[in-house]
Amino acid sequence: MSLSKRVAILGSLLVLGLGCGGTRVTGDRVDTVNQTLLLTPSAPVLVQGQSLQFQAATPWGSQAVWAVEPAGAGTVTASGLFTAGSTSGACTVLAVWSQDVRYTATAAVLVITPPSSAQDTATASISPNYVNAFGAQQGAGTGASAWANGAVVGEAEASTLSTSASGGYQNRAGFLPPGAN
Amino acid sequence: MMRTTIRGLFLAGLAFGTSLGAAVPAGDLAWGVGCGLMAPLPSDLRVTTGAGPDLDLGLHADWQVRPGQAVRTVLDAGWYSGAERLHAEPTLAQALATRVSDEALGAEYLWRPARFGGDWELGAGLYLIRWRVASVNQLTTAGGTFTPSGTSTWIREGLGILAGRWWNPHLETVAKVQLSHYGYENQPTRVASLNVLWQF
Repeated sequence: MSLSKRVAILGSLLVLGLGCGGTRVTGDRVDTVNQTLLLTPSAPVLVQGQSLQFQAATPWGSQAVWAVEPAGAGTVTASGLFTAGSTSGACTVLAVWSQDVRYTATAAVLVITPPSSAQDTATASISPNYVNAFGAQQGAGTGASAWANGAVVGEAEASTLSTSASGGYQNRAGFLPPGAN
Repeated sequence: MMRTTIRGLFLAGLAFGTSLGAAVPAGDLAWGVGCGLMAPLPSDLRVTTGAGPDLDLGLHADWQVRPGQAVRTVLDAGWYSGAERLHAEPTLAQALATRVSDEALGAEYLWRPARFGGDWELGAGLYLIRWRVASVNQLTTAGGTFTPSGTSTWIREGLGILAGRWWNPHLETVAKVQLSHYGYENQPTRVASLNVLWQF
């Protein structure tokens, strides 16, 4: 083989080699969060205790390692199921691709308090002539009201439920004193 | 399909070249060891490896196929010094540390022009390179820090162009540029090395 042919072959290999190489995506740089590894949903709002399934995906696979920061804001399983904690506030769900931990994605999660219910179960208040019942303290009313082994002497009426524009509430009529029926 | 064909041809050529070492009579074979320095040329690999120079070690076997021509089977290993990148956003600070190493199995064709007295040689090689990247990815938010770590490996084809100078029948200096790609994104790699080989 002549010298010129040998040089031509080596030159061709060099050009071929310099020309090869894949796409220049910036995957192993640090400013590429959420670019190659995509996390959905990216900014959900959840109620305390509510769960949400996150999905992490790259062009080559979807297996991810998960974390929640701060740790008390919620939990996330190995499959990406996030459950909000009991405190409201913002937290971050972090995911890295398990095949190459250089690929990172984050989601900003807002945990809110459940909308307040109009259901009033804290107290049961009735007319002063009736029995007042607040938690464990039970007092007798005047007149014919009486104690009987810590139980209210009287007759319970069935609870009734009514609704208003602001929601539902329970109206407990309470206990009637003896003989009030 | 095209890529599969190219890879098949590549592997066939590489297998042929590396098997020559085992097939030829022992008298035509010469074994040797080498060490040297290597440095990634500017490319994405340099982001991950650091600038170098870094250590490169190898074994080789030369088979003199005819006067002035030889096939060299090589097994090289390289360890890069590593790199750390920092990046901060309002909601996330990231510190990514990576350490890269590689092993290459290859076959090189060497040509020693008679007009230079056989002291100089030019060559080209085909390689299979196993890249290994160990990463520690520290992610810090307002709520805390998450630090996953792991090692990823890939096997990719490579191509080398080299030039060597024999100083005596045992000692040779070889300068080489090795081209390949690595990672899930097939980022290009270009590594230059300068090795000293000792042939027994």
